[in-house]
Amino acid sequence: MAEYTMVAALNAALRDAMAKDSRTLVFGEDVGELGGVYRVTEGLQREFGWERVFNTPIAEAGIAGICVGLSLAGWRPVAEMQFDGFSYPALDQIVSHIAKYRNRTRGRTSMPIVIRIPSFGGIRGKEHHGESPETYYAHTAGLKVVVPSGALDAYRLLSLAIADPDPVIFLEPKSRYWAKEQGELAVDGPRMGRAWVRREGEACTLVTYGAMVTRCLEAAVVLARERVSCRVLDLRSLVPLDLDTLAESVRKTGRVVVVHEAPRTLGMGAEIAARIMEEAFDYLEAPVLRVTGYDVPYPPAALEQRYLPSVERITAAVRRVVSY
Amino acid sequence: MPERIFPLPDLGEGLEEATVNAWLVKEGDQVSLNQPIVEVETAKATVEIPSPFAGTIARLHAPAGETVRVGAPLVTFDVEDDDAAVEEEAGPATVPATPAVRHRARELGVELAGIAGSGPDGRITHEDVERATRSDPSKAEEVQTLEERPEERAGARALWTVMMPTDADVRPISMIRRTIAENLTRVVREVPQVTTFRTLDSTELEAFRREAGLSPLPIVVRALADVCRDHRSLNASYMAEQGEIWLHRRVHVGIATDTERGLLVPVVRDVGDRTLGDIAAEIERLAAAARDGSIRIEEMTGGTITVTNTGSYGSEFGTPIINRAQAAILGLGAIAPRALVVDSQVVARPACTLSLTFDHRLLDGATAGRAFGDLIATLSSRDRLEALPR
Repeated sequence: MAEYTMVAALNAALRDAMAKDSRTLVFGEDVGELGGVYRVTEGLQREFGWERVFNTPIAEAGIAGICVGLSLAGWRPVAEMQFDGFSYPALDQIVSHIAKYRNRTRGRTSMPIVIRIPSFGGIRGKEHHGESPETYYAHTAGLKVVVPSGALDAYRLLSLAIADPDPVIFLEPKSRYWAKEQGELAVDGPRMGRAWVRREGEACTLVTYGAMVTRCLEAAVVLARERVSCRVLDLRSLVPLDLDTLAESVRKTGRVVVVHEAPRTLGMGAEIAARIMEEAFDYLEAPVLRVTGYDVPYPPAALEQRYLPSVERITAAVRRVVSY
Repeated sequence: MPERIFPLPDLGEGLEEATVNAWLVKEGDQVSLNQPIVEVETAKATVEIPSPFAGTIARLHAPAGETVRVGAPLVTFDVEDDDAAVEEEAGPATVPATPAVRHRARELGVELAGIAGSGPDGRITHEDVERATRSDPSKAEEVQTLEERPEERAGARALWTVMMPTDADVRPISMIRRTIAENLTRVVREVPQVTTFRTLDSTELEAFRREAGLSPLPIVVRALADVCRDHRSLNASYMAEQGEIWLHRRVHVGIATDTERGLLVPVVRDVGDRTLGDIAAEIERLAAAARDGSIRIEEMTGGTITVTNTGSYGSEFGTPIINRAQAAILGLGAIAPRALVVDSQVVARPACTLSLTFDHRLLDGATAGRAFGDLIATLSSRDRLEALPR
């Protein structure tokens, strides 16, 4: 059976999409000859030529703006922001134009854009290299926001995102880039917008996404030794949220702990907890708890693991709701 | 003076109601803290309830003979303590319960306000709600036949019950039956238990017991206690949640006792310190109390091992189910003449089959087998039987 890193899987998804549809373009800072800081675009320029795979200036607003123009001209742009913390200059183009174009034109013009952003912490990076920007995008109507947690699903989700007629913010968990997964690359499987139960359990549901899926699975193994069986729900898609699977999980386990790297205040956990109250209040056996980053700027490398949800913090939260 | 209402407290053992046998106080009486005020009878025992306050009895809420459910008002006191009363009045306007519990209570038509929560921080649990439904007199003791229920005929039943005859008489499961069922189901589900059998040539036992004027049961109980002392894992509890094995120092033997209300298991305490005559008298006393309902809950708890006399209704042997948190149960079959081989000759001898069911987590087959062998050795040796304290 083949084995893929997430980088290799993303690279394969880009290559397959470009081969399948000659309108697909890849661009961003250093994506050409270098193949991107993380080598996700490695070899693409050589294979598809500099006209379809090209470097841009260090001007993120420009990268997003180019996406708008190219879309209007019929191309399918797949842009890369070099890092989460560098993507904010592009927010105006994304929020004011990319997200609004379909509505502005009363549905006549869609923006089939994918903006890939290497995101989240856990890589002992510098400032601007460990941010969790998902809420900014999730809060903007008109964007889809997806986060893969492993190599095989990264291939699937990126392929689906590129094929999607609307703009997709594609957040890649950097700390999982080099993690390997065995299997075959395939688009078949859960569609975009569907959550995925990664582990079955009855006592509590851990709702999470990205790199925290792995950490929640580790926590579930620890808890299983204490005979607390946890369901681990990999959201995959933050917009749209898979409310059906979320509500089903609450009905099944009655207890939920949301885990994400982003700061607590107005993070995805807040939205998920609120949705659970709206959709499945009567099934709650305990308050929904959140295990998240703290409400501080992302810390330097030495403190990073104290900031990120740890197995200990996750298991403590689960024990609290289970014994509530 | 402020009033304080004292509801019938949770009497343990999953009991949901009690009948007032006799009031030990009357309205207007002064009572002190912990003074017994009422004797109530439950499905399992008779209990005296001590006063929770010092004060004056203002009102008795149930006359003798009336059944009161747990949580319903029993006595109203006039108390001196102002602060306590203020605290009571300033209590929360709403009772703590999770959304899931509230939802279930709505489905069942149960009023949460009247329920004392048994969960953390006084939270009302699912069990509290279920208990409240079961003890609601408006829902109890209806006897119907299935034909009186149109929804049953309309196919609302589970598939496997569809083939069942529909002319059955239906009655609710009684409290004691439910308790027995829950305990047994739990043990069968949780404990890997196995039963092993030995035939006892009862010649010596019969001769000894006739001379001593005893039934075999107290002798077996006493011999078992001695075996427990030598084989401590037989008198132990496998505490899975704590990750521990508790080896009990004293041997408290439960005696499975058939009563009109169902199976009860009164406990003979400290069997190792008692003489045969004493054990016989205690078994007699407990069995009588169990049958007439005067037995107290504390006389039916704390057993460390159990003996069941399957022979009392003629069975040759049983495969008894161990009691919760115990390592073993010994079944005593009927003693009757059997063909045994003695010195290569087939001879008729009084004999019986003993069955030992044990918790296989605690005891390996060989360990249990050795303990069982020691018991048989004692019961078949006149010298050893004579050595038991009379």
